[in-house]
Amino acid sequence: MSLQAVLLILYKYFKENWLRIILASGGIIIGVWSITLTSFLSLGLSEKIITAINSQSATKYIQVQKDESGANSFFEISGPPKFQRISPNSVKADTVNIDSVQEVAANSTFLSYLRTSSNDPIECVNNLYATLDQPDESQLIPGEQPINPQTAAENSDGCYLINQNYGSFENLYQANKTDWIGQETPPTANEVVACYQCNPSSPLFEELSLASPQELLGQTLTLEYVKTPIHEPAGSIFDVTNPGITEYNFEETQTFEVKVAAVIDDRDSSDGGFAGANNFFTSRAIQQQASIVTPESVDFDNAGFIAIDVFIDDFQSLDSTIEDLQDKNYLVSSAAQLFITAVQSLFLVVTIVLGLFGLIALIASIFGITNVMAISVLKRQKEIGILKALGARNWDILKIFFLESTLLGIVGWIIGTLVGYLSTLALSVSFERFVLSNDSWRNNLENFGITDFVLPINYVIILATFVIALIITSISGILPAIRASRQDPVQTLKN
Amino acid sequence: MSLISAIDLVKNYGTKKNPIKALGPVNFEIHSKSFTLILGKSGSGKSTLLNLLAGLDKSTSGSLIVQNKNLSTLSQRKLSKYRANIGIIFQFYNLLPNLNSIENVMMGSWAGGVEGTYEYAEQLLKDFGIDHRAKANVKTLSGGEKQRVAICRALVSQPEILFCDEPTGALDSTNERQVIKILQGLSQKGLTIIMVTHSQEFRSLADQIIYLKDGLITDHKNFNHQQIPQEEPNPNHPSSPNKVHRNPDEPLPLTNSVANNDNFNIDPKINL
Repeated sequence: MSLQAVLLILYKYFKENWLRIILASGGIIIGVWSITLTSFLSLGLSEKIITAINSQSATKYIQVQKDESGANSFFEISGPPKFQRISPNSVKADTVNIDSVQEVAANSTFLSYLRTSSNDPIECVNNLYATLDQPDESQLIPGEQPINPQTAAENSDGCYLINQNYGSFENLYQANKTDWIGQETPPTANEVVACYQCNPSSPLFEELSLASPQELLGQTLTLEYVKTPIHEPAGSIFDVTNPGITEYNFEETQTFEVKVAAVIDDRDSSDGGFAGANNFFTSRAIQQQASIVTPESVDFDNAGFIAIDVFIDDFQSLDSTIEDLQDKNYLVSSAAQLFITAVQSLFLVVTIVLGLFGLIALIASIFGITNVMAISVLKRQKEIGILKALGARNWDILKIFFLESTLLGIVGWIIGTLVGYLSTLALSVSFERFVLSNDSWRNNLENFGITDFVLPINYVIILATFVIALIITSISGILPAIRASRQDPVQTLKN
Repeated sequence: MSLISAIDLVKNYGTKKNPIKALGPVNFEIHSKSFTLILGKSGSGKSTLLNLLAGLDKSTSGSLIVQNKNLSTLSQRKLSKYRANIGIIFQFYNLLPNLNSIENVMMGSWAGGVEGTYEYAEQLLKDFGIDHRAKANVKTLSGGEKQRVAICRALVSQPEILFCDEPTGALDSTNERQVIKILQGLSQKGLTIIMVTHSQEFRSLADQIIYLKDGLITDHKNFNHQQIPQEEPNPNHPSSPNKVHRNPDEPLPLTNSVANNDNFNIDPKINL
């Protein structure tokens, strides 16, 4: 049978029965639509979340440690870890051949404090932590013990941790708009935003004898930046079960005069707002300038630290860099990687589970299509007989019915893919209309690099659904096609 | 040399243990360019014989030699090829309902993979006075028009033999006369026609009549048996190396059976 005859018969069949064909391919349509929609949505969401993570500088930061046992995975360590203190120089030497590593720095090198002074100077209750020298035990206040400066910062008077990173000024402002007093633009290098009673346990403002947040506005404060280095000899062991007592030396301070440009009145914590437990929000300029203070007497590069920070050039290098570091027997921690792995795994599971429903619909359609094709063969017995009488071979008849079955699958795939794509488009438009139109939400999302919800088209998924649809309809159509080809022309012409 | 030879041809239905005899044994010959009538009442086995001659069915035993091929031993594939190179007309037309007239005609060559041109199909429709209905769906045609489309379909592959199974059985008298005229004209042009019918009206057209009753030949009449010169087979014919390439314009000697002196002419405006 010539190709023209086959094409003509197929074309005429579809022209006459297009509605029936669409209905018969319903299972294919639903299956493909389901797989397309869930896959695009899952992959798109996963991509957006990873974009958000990647927008934060923390994704380029890895923390490395060494366990006494030499294990490069926390799972390989039995019992509490015993960290070997490592020096920045040793890590630099180990990472010199890892191109993605940009910088190596000791973790928790300093504990930084700001203490305030105004017209009435305020001193820390424990001058231990504000002076340059470490006094001996005879100078302690009776009953007082040397304690971890971290804890000291929360408990002592007048010594307050600097807020390291609150994201952007815009975030802080939008989140605390209703409590905001004063300047609504970011503080300059000589200004701070203060939070009145963000930290309820802090006596700062009692000490300043302020009756209200308004009185704080416009005040000039002297902030003393106190930096204390924490270091131990490299190679020594840090046992988490017995950390011991570390002695600190307060070596240098810097003083800054800053003006309170704005105040967050957080006395009423029930009205929302979020400023954390921070008292001051400074510009990075102050922080960066203060960080320049480096005690010259301490050889930090060769001192021992429990953890060293490794900064990489690009988030994309994260996985390979972690592998390279593990090869050198480092215990590697990356919050970003953990989170991203969790996100990707979660979405993969969701995609597979939801996609399975679509696959089940596709497989179930085998029975429907087989039935439809069997009925088609039954109804067209005479046509088969005529074609055979005109010289068509068994193979020609098989070809026609088999192609009809696969065309069912193609039609179903086209409609299912279109509907799936339009569904994702509808989701994108809805997101932009209902979420991005809200200023606060839009700003928050922009901070994480998310400006739209366009779901990418995954051509692998499209190709996969096409192949699956073809396979399913081929399986469905083969038996009826064989049956059609074996029809006796004499018997069929009698019908 | 005869075009068709049947030797002890038998066709049974049913099982080997309980066969139902439908035909045979029969023996006969059919010559090229002749008009052969197979007459018999319903159930006489004439349709069974035609199915065997047309390659639609295979005999249970015996030989059926057509164009030097024993149809009884041909494979299904070769039988298909044989069917592609013959023409066949049915009582109830057997046109493909989803196609229009010209598409049905073209299917006569396309189905068997035989060469046939669109222009030739159009010419056939024109010759038989239905070119104005070329694009019409066959469901909208009258019985006479349908049968003429069927005749065009049978002729599009330029067959050497035309099989007709009760071609006028479903037609009124007017259309019946038209079809008779067509077949008469085709016979005059040298086409070998084998027709199965229960009607006696075609007797005057036939060169040979085979009477069947209960599956057996009861009578066999040759009216104008003469040695008709056989053309040498044309090996260059695209459809079959054994097919005789016929020049339709070459006149053939008229026999007494074709006593109608009317020229072959179809009125295109048939009142249906």
